[in-house]
Amino acid sequence: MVRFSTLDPSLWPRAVRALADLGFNAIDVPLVWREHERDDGSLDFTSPRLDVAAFLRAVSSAGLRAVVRLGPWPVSDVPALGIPDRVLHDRRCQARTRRQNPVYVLDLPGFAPLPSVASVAYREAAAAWITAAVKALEPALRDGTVARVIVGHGPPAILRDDAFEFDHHPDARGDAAPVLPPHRRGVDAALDEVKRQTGHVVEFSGWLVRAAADAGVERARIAVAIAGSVLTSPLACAVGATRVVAMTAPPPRAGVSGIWRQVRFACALGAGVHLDLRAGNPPFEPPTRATHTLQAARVAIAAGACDFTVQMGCAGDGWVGALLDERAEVRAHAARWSALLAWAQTLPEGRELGVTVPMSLDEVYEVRASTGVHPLPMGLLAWVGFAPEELTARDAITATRWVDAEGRLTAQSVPWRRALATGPCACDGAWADAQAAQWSALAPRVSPEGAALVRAVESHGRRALVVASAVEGPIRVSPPTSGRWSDEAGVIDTPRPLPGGEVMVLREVLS
Amino acid sequence: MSGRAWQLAGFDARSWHRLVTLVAPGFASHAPAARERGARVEGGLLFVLYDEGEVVRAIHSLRGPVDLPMWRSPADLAACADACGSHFAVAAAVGAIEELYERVGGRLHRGDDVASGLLLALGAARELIDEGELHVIPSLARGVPLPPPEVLRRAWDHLLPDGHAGVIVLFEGVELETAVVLRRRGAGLDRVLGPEVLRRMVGRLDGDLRRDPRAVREAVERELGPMAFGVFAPTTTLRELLMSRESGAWAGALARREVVLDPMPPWAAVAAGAGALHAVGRRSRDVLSTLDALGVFGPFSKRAREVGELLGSVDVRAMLGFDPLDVVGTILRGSANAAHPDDDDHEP
Repeated sequence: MVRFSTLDPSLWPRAVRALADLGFNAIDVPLVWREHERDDGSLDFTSPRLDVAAFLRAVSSAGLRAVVRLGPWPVSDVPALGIPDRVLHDRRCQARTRRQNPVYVLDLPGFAPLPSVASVAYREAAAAWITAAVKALEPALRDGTVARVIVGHGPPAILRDDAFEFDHHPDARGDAAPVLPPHRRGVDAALDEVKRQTGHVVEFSGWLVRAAADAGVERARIAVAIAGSVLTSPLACAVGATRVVAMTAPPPRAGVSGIWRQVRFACALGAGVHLDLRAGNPPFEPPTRATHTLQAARVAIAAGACDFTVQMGCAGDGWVGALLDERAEVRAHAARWSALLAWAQTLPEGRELGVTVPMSLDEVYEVRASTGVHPLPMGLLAWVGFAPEELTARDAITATRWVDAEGRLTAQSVPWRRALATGPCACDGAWADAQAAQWSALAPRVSPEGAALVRAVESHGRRALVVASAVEGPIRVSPPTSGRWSDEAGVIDTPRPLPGGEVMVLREVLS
Repeated sequence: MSGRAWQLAGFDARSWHRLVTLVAPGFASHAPAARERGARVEGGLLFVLYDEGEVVRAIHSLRGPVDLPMWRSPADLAACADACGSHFAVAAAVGAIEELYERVGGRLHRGDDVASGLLLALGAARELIDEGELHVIPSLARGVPLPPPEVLRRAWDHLLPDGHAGVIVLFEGVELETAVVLRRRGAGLDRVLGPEVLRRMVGRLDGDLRRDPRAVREAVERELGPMAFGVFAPTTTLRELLMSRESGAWAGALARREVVLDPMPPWAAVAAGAGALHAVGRRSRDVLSTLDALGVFGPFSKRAREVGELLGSVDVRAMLGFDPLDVVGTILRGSANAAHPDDDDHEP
């Protein structure tokens, strides 16, 4: 990711070339609404530092493609959430507390009022921004330089694009007109539950997808950014009629299991997952060592994301520990990301093995509703790295239920291939459902229990296991005993004890 | 209300991690696999949400969800934290966090500056503590008074006057471990620069506490403006000083030149002698004379004597009603891994 507006334009070609040399095939380009809007409300896409077309030409010249983020809050750590003061301080656009006060969130060193994603006024303003930004991108969309457009409120902390527990904006109240398509019975069920508990309804990012599509971006190129809870993804996708979610990978704090679980879950629910991985930190998040970030990234990639963005590609205003420094020169640890990219290329592509037990969307929505309504300060706790299942209130969702849902969903068989290199969309979204009912007998077994997480992939007629170790020590994987795996015998030991967090591909062992 | 308009540059992941964990060791990075081993990790923060005295949810920042069998009421929070191996804990009644948002949202105004906003939020939190809806361990909130915004602004003016730069440079042996260069512009900071930028400005720094401060000062004053203060020390020394309970530890370290303050502003001279000030009551002039005799002030001794005249207006502790270093020390002493928050020597 390169925030081009924070770099001198003379450095753009150097930054793009440096990232291409490290092995990246696309540049992630966030457009910050607040930066592009002039005092009179007009938008500027042509001043030297804001000339997005010129930057995209630099991207294209280097033989790369672009992933463009339109937000409205496109990236962590932009002042005032990246939203113009005109909108941020418009009471009609602000999220409200129960007593109709504005909701302020930390925007260190101060505070910023939170917009209401349910506010009609906010939606109109945001949609106008997206329309104008898409127009500025038109040539690059036409010639294919822009591979994907990501919309949504992406930063993992504070603004959660789900049942927002603090928003009592009149447009979010239960007596307001329903904002989701009535034909989504599951959505309605979830909303009924939310409404019953809180008295107000919620909205997801579908309206942003619609705004981008109405502005001329083909749906297949649109992805929805989700914040925090992966359970948001099917709703966001369903409402927006798109198939790809952009998910910020959990921090190392989530642990191997948490990272794996969330990515697998998002993969199963969202069909295609674009992962956002950290290469550094916005300064107001707890710092992460490069080694730990790389370990988290390796686990997340192994869990099956189709493509990913390394955030903080080039140090701009407010980013710490990026791959390139402020002069677009390569930092020492960038070579380790380069090695990670090369390693990712070695992972098996193909068809996820396992079976399909379609979990009814109603069930997903029910789980979503129960995780979305709780009295914990989710944003604040997510900021220090808690996973959603750790934050749910007692009696809302049990760990067993979560794991059960996960197990059923991640066992689905999903065609999978890398994106960007071959097309704009990560997955074609076709869901195989032939092997229902036997999923539990078909999952590989790990010994000792809980020592590793395993994903099976059929690649070019061969099978492989991707193993992420959760603890240190030797790991034994037992093939399933029924179904397509039934002809396999014996157990597979990893060739050596795996350090905790290490990922290994056991190739062809089951072929 | 958003006060951010600064350039932040020159930190890689390591130097940033080392800087942050110096004062907030609880934020030290852990490997993903450490989460699975969480039950063996000491420290962390316990957060308890309760309703009518009963625990709704208890989570620990290193261990995830935890059971608290000894919980009977919020009065048991300290015992629960202790059982979890944690020195830090927060308990909130259901609705307390929402009420905090209510109060902040109802009182904050668009034109409020950063100081006013922060004090307002802290004040609202304190109200909830006083009302028994929020419980914090350690109970810093009760011991630390909240000064009015104008006093906070005056203290800020003394610490880092407008247009001036402040520098902290930390070494481990001959290696520059981390550094931060701050420059104030108006009410806030406009530059937050790390070791990469400092190296570009100064050239090589090798932990020579006689040479490096001079070189840094010349470079910073050339490029950014007059320097208000500069702190140069080995990281371990500074960490020990921050954690120390010993009165006069700073004065002693300065006298032995284990830490160099260059330039040493009046408030730093007073802060360095704070322990001694306590010992001698109001006889601050004597303390400063003693520091001067120890050679703490070096070539700035004349200025140090002038400081005595100004003491009433530069003693940050007296101004704020509490010693910010005491607050940092309390946090550090309560952190399980404060002494060795970062073990990344072998990180490639």
